[in-house]
Amino acid sequence: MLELAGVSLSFVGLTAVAGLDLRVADGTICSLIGPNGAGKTSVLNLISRFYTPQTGQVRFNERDLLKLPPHRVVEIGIARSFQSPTLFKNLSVLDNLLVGAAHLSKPSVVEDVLRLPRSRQHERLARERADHALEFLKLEAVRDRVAGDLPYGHQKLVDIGRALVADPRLLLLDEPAAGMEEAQKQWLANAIMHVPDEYGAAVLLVDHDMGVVLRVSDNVIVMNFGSKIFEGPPGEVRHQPQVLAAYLGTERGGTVHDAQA
Amino acid sequence: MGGSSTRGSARRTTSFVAAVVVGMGLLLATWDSNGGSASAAVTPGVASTTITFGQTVPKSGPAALYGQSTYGVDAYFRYTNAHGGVQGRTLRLVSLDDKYQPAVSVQLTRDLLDKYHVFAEVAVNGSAPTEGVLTVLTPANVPLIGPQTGATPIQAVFRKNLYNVWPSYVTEGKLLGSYARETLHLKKIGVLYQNDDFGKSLYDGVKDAGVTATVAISYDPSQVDFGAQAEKFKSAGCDGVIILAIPGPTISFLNAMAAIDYKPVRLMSQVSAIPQSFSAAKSEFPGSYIGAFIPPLTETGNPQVKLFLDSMPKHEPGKPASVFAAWGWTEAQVAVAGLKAIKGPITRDSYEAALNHLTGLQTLGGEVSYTPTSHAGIQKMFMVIAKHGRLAPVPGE
Amino acid sequence: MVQFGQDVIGGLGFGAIYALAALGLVIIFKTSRLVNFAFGSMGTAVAMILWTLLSAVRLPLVAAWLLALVGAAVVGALTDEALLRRIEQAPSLIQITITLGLFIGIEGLVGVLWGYTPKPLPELTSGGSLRVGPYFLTPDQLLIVALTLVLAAALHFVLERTRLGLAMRAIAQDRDTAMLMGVPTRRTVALSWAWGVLLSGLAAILVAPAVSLSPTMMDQIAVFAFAAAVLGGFGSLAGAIVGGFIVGIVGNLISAYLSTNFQLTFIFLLIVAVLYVRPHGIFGSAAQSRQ
Repeated sequence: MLELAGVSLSFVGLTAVAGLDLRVADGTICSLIGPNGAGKTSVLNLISRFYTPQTGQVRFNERDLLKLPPHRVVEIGIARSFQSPTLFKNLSVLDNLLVGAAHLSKPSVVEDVLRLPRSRQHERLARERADHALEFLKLEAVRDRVAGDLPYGHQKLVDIGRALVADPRLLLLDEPAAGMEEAQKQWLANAIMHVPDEYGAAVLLVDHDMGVVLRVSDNVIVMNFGSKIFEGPPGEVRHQPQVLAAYLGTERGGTVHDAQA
Repeated sequence: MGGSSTRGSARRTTSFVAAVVVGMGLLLATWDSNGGSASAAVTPGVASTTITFGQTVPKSGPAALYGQSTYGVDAYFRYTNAHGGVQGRTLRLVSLDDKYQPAVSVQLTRDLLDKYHVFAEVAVNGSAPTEGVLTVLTPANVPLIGPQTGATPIQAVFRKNLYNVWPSYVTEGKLLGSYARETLHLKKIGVLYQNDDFGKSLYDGVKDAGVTATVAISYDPSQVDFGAQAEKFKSAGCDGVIILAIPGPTISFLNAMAAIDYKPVRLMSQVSAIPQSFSAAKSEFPGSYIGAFIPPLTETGNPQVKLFLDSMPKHEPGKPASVFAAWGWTEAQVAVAGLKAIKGPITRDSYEAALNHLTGLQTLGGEVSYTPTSHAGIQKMFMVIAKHGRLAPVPGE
Repeated sequence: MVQFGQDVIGGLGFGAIYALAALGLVIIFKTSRLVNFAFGSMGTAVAMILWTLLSAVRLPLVAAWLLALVGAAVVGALTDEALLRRIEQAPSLIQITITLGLFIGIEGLVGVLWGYTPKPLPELTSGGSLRVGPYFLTPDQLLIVALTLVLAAALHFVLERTRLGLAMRAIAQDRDTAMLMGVPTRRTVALSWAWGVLLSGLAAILVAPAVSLSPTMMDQIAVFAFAAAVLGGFGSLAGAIVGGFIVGIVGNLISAYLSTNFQLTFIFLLIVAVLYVRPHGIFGSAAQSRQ
């Protein structure tokens, strides 16, 4: 479904992504890991069209993603959450989620203002999706709270919820577990595992928390200096010497599991 | 616009406008003139075939309405040209837009002297702008005929190069005050006056007439909401209100009085006496008394009025024959009469000498007489009343 | 006491005008983060168009009104589309300069097209002043106040209860994110410009019968409306309304009991005082102005 082929991206003299091939299959969870600066977030930003690669192709369901401007990416079924949540801080949690549904149908302004059937139908659909996301992410209790007042962990969940309301086929998650407590992380991992079943969406996950990554992923890609240095099922990752080297430098031993960033 | 500065382009616009004005003047003037105009003239603005006058008036901004006076000056100049000009020369007018901003007036006046080489100025508009203009003209001894103001700082100080045509605001205020007190027998008189030389000079005249205002309120010309002022006059029980204001505030104030159902006797300055625009003031304009020097333009029996009304469509087709145009016409009448009285070469000195001995000159606005020591304007004013959207003589006068 | 009451009532009418114009400012500011300094002259242009429709085209009053207001909305949307979109990313000083330039340009253009002779615009209602106890008020004043409140309520409804409103609120907070979420930001911003200019035009049309229509008619009103918006927190609809009425009434009281020459001075002193106690205006919140 998502396919990156030979993608390279550099900023004035600095290589962020170097000849990367990457595929995410329908309904699977794929994780991107690697040390800081390995180019993981750059890959997400490429897919979101914030960046345009110098070479290579990015295709989504046979469509050339590089031809789309950033704000059209969500229309073809790719939604994302951000490393630090970019919520509408003065709006309620519910309103934040409803904005996620903005692209799902486009009743005209007149229909909106007069609340004609098409607008009402859109609103009903958006409400249903928002309610579902609230339930899925256990946010019902904070539904009417102002988003900016919530604790950080909750804000990250609202950010993910907003992406889910957008009805994506592919969900991009940028470090969703960062800044969460251990128990919340476990719960989040569980929720992410259920995204393909509940929402019919594949997931491309970037995170430093090896516990979460190894638990939820079908496929793990390890990057260093912008290149893929390993790809395989989670069970194989922690024993790869080049992965260890990337994370720890060659002098030290141990397993990746101990070396959470 | 490339690299040109704003100032540069503003100037270019100004000179463009001026060029158009001059161009139009040339087109409409008689054509045998071009040959000699390039030859060096001893007196600026006086060529073998033309005499050039200049003026600054507001053609845009809040006072732009007064810019209509230019039509009257133009019309009278063309009327003169059509009747042989002065000493075989045709009259030209360079008219520049000062937006009623004295700083701009000063700058443009310098341009009129340095770039356009005008002989004299005529019908400059506004109290403050005229004060600015005089700071340039007086040291250079350039004659100014008929500034459109009756403010005390201009009228009460004798200047060799300044010839007033307008009656002073004190004269006008005196007429309004005495009419309110003695003819209309008003008991409690309220005065609304603008907080500048224009309003204060008029109010001084009202006081000179022995009127003690029950309430006197000043206002800022930019003000729009006059509800509080109207309420003050009403609650003080004023049976008459003297309005010493420019058109916009006058209309707002009249509307504000109507809104609280307050209908005192109204007297106002001729500066705001424009019937066509007072249809904007609902039903409150009719019945208002106005001190005027321009006779009602409906009096076609008056030969001065008839000449003006006949000439405007002929020489300035499509332009309103308004009271403002009548101002310009009157001032141009004085300027031209002075020129015609010159015996011998036309210089600024011979012009002033001729003007100094004009006596009993009949103009549209009344009689004008000068002496070497008095350059006061028209003395006689009279009351008119607003009726059916026009000005009419007060019955019984 | 009667005089005091009458001064307050008198202030309501102009207060409603300031409130409407302030709403127009705020609604544009909310989505585009741009202060439309041209709102006064744009309003005047709308009133002039109405005058032409009435006096030259001779349309019936209501039809002319609707047409003029639709015209205002179209002009608003086009201004955004053709001009301001191009300076979206420009420094705010540039943006301010552009809207100020627009103000001067439009005022000049209106002067050239319509001239400077004050023009009459008919009132919506006919008949003289109404007497309520010792107080007088005109049917037009009543209508203006009612219309302002109804419009404010309608705007509040649109903003809080419709998808368009949600889009506006989202854009107001974070335009880039809203765009990424698929919110039609361009359309929404253009729409808020349409709304904003329509409100300025309405304010101008409503005030014109009281002050007479001329190119510079809105100059002073625009200053007071701007003050009202600042007082209300520049971002809140309720703030713009309350700010408008405060400026209208306090302004009237100042000119009644002190001097009209101090009106503007005292209004701005009031703003300074309010901003000192509540730095984000009466109805503003810290987060709103942080953006």
